[in-house]
Amino acid sequence: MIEVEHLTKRFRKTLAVDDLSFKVREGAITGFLGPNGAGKTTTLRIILGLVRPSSGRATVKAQLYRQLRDPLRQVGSVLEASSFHPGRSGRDHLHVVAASAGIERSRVDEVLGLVQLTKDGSRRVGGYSLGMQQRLSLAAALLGDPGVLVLDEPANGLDPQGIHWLRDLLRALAAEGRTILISSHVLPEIEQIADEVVIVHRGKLVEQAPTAELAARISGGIRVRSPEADRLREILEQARVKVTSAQADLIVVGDGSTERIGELAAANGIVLHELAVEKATLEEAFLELTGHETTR
Amino acid sequence: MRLFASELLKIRTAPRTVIGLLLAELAVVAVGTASTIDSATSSGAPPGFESPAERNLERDLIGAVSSSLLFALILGVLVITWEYRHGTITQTFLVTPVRERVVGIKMLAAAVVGAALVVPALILMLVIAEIWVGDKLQFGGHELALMGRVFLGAAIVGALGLEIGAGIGRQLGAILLAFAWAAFVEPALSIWGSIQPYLPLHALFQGVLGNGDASLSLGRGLLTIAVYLAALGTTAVVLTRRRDIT
Ligand SMILES: Nc1ncnc2c1ncn2[C@@H]1O[C@H](COP(=O)(O)OP(=O)(O)O)[C@@H](O)[C@H]1O
Ligand SMILES: [Mg+2]
Repeated sequence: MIEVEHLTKRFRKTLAVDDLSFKVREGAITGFLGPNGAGKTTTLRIILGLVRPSSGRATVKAQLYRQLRDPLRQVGSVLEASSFHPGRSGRDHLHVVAASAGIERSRVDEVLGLVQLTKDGSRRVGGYSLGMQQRLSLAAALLGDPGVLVLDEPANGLDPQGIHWLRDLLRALAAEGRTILISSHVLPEIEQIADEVVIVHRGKLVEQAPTAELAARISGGIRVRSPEADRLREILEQARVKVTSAQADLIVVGDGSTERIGELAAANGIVLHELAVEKATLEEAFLELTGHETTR
Repeated sequence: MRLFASELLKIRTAPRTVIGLLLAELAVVAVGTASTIDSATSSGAPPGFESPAERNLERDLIGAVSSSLLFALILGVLVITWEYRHGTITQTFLVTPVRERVVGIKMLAAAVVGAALVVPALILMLVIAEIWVGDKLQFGGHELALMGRVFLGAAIVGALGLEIGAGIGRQLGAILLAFAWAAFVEPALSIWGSIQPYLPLHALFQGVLGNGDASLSLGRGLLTIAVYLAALGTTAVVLTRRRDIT
């Protein structure tokens, strides 16, 4: 559906995207993840024909964006930077977009309703909050009732209710068979709705996998709490069990099983206050893959 | 057609900029008209006698209207640079990813709206002149032709402004470039008499508007301007296609 092939983009000295390849499956929600500066926005803008790649290419339905007929009816997009004339009302902005794309005017009020902006539609965009601007972008993306949505950090500026609302809306849109590519640097937003994730770091692909598989694949380790943590750690290390982090009374073990650790502790007369398998979250997987320090 | 209509809609729905431009234009034309009439009537010919200055009054008044070309130029620049400035160019290119079409359609819109800017200037001039020296004025076929040339000139200048704006991509930069050309570059180049007929403003004022000694015919003027329009247009398209919208 969306295909990125050996994409590279260099801005003067910055290598923003580095030989990146991935495919977005039709009818699924794909999360496009990476820390700030990973090259997500650049990649999405190349897909939309706004930025010229240095090499490689990105296609939608096997065509370059500029080859698409009536692109707004095929691909809807929400981009990071707001792009409204502040003097126009939200409704006028949509009228301009609809007129240029040959979309009937009646659709404007429909999409304003979809993003819950009907009441504020005639206010000047200059006075909109970030969240309202984000909703207006989404309204513009939905104008052409497209089968593909490309969304760059659409949750930015939304309050928790707004994020909840967005999640429900995206689920509903995906349930209608749409293909959605949605970027974020904040994991929890995406974890719950993405069928698949593509993780990038420093412009390179780190991982592409179904969300569930990725979370399962990366073990969160075993938490062991003990008043004699230091002694236990030495014993574990002698038994070649890898300890990944150690604090005053807490050890996190990367491999091994709870049975083995429990038995070793008992054999050495060490009291345990806690022995549990950490449930891995995508957040941890993400931080691990992109080489950040874990938060605990 | 729908793209052209939406360009006009964009201009209409950003009223503050357009109204500001219009007010500035009317002020300049009012001052120009007033000073033209003032200097013509104070030259002291006895009533009933038509002095040469007065016989040219109509022509000079139309000259005052042609200061609206300046505003057609600025509007032409704005039609594309305000899109870069406010980021709406993103949406424009998402709708029409073939950027040469965007440049072409905007050129057309800038030409039409540039010419339209002449209408209020012309009306204002006629009203002021009618009130002040209405009894002495006679607008005939020759004056009508001159007015037609002002419309044509404004359309050309609007299109040129659009091309400069598209090439540079920045409001201030484009306007400064246009002024630098008018104030320094072309006057400096005019020192060489042999290339003067081929310079754009000379072609515009002498050829298209028929000012000065009218040493350049309308046809020659238009031909010269067409070459500049084509060259600048090509440059604008190349630069616009290369530009990354980030
Ligand atoms: N127009 C530009 N000029 C120069 N560098 C840029 C430009 N746009 C992005 N970059 C750089 O490219 C890298 C990737 O940026 P971006 O694609 O915005 O990342 P993300 O969206 O993942 O945060 C960053 O280092 C950024 O500074
Ligand atoms: Mg980004």
